[in-house]
Formats: sequence, C-alpha cells, structure tokens
Amino acid sequence: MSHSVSVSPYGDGPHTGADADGIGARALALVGRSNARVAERITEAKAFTEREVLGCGDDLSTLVSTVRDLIAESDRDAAAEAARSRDVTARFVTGMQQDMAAQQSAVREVLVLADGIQAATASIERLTQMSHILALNMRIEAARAGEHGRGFAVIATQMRDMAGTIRTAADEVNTAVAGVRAGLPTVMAQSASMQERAQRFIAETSAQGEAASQHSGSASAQHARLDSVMALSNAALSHLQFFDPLVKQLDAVGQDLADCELRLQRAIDGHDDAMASDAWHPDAEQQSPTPVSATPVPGGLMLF
Amino acid sequence: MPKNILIVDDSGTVSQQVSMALKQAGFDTVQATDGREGLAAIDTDRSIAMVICDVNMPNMNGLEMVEAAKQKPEDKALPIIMLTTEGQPDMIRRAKEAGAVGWMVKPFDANQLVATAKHLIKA
Repeated sequence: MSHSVSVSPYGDGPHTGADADGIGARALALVGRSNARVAERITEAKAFTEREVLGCGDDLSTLVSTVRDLIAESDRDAAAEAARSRDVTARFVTGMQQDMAAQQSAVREVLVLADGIQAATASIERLTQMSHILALNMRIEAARAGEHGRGFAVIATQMRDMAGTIRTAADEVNTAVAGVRAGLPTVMAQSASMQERAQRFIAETSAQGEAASQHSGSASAQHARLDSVMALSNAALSHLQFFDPLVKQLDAVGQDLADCELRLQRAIDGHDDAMASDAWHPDAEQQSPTPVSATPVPGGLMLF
Repeated sequence: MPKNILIVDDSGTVSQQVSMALKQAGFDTVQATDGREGLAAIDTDRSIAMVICDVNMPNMNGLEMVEAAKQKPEDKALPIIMLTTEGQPDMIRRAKEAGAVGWMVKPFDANQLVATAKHLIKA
C-alpha cells in the first residue's frame, strides 16, 4: 500500500496516504457505478430500438402486406361474382327474349288460324243457306210430285235439319274463334309485361355491376392509404439513423469510463505509470478521425 | 424476379432499415456484420446482384472488402455502393479506385436508395 502524501481536494491541508487511498477508493467506486449505469443505459437503448421500434416497423410492414393481400383477394372475389352475375343475367335475358319471340310467333299463327277458321265457317254458312234453299226447292218439287214425291219431301226435311245443325256448329265455332281473338290481347299484354320485367332485371344487374366497379375504386383508395401509412412509418424509422452515431459516442464514453476505472485502480495499487499518457487509449488516434469539409452531404449520393 | 442485395454493416439498426426499404420495393436481402462476412457471402451466394456496404467495421472494413472482392474476375461487375457517415475525399477516392460504383452518406434517403438499386441492378 502506498504511503505518499497528497493534497486534499477539500483544501483542508495535506492528507496521509491512507486518506488518499480512501478518496481513491470512493472515486473508483463512483466511476465504477457510473460506468455500469452508462453500459446499462446503452444496452437498454439498443434493445429497445431493436425490440420496440424496429420490431414495430417490421410488424407494420407485415400487417400492411397482409391487408394488401386481403384487398386483392376481395377484389378478385368481387370481380368473379360480377362476372358470374353478368353470365347469369345474359343467359336469362337471352332465354326470355327467345320465349317472348316464340310467344309472339304463336300468337300470329293463332290469328292466322282464326282467320282460316272464320273463312271456313263463312263457307259453311253459305253451304247451309244453299242447303236451305235446296231443301225448300225439294219440298216444292215434292209437293208437285204428289204421292211420288213423299220420299223426296222426307229427304228435303232431313236436309233442312242437317243444314240447321251445321249452322249451329258453325255458330259455335265462330263463338270459339271470337273467344280466342278476345283472349289474344291479354296474351300480348302479358308478353309486354314480361318484357318490362326483363328490362327492370337488366337495369338492376347493371346497378350491381356499377357497385362492383365502385368496390374496385375503393380498393384503389385503400391501397393509396396503405402507401401513405408505410411512407410515414419509413419516415419515422429513418430518424433512427441518427441513433447509431449517438450509440457509438456513448460506447466511447463507456470505454473512457472503463479506462478511468482501470487507472484509478492502478493508482490505488501504487503503480507509478497509472497517469502515463501511453496507458490511455493505445489506438486513440484511430477512434475519432477529424472530419474534413463535408462533401457529399448527408443523404447525398455520388455515383462514380 | 426478386434480386438479392447484400447489406454489410456492423449496425443492426442500419442493416434492418436498409433491408426494410429494399424489401418493400420487392428486393430480397442478405445481411453481414463486417467485411469478412460480406466477402464470404459474395463468394458463396451467386444470387447477390448488388452490395451496400458500410466503411467503418470491425475485422475488415468496407474499403478493404471492396478491394478484396474486386480482385476476382467474376465479381468485377458486381455493383457496390458505400453507405457511411464518412465523407472524406481520400476515402471516396480510395473507394472509387477499388471499384465501388457510388458513395452515399448516412442518414440515407430510402427512396433514393431504392431508385439507385433499381438503376444499378437493371444495368
């Protein structure tokens, strides 16, 4: 143990070596504690940066990628649904149009048939009239023929009755045809109603297609928002680049404190070289190069 | 097709930030913490299309790594950009003579870094 005399920093006269050792020991303990605290803070700061800040940046980047994938999937589903809906609509409309065309064609055929039937009944009416006249003539001749014309009169009567029956049938046919004709406007009206419904359906499915387009439009807006989020996150994280030189400075301070602790210990142990300049940083000259005038500027790029 | 970019920096913070910026632009990244690891990665991973390299690193600094890498004929065309806090003209000159294609000073601008990567890898 050293027994040299030193001057108290408190100005109360020279102290013995034992006092100096006590002061030295306290100073050593103080430096040691400071050193430990600095090292602890540096470790905490680095761990915090990696764990919390950069980790959050990573998490955000992953989350944004996931959301983009979901938006893309939703877009694909909407597009597929819209395409399926258009197919269904197109098939339905085509079918309806074919049915309506067939219906109108059938109505026209019915009208033609009705005309044909009415023409036929008109012929039958003329025949019955002729039959009546013929029957009348036969009765007249039968009356002239007297006894010999009796059979003739019977035939004439039968002819008259037959003409009446035929006339009745013709009337019934005419009535039926009139009924069909009366019903055709209703059929045409129903056909028009179906056409109207088809057009409303087309309008509704067009509106659905419009909604699907708007969905795609909103997806673009969502992507744009995600781009903004990532740009802001990256801008915030870029400030961490200033953290790195700061940590290096703190590391240098920690090293200085460790050296200081070592030298104090050596001084307490009585080594005369504790304060020698070469016992300090052997590579001090390499640690902090004197910066030359700044070219290029931070963030600047120089391509050779 | 994703391109691999090697990031050589002893700072985990910077490495991770550069990696994030490049990955968001569609690149893949590989990281090394000093010049020796960087050189080993260049030798073994032939999918590396570009290198972004710090200068001040332990074991082997960035300038030494560039000089060593460019000794090999197969790596002469590999673009290497220095990304560093340094700005001294003699360092920049040494990097250029060693075969680096550019010098970027920290803190870097992510958009500029990505644009540079796209330009150099396409070339």
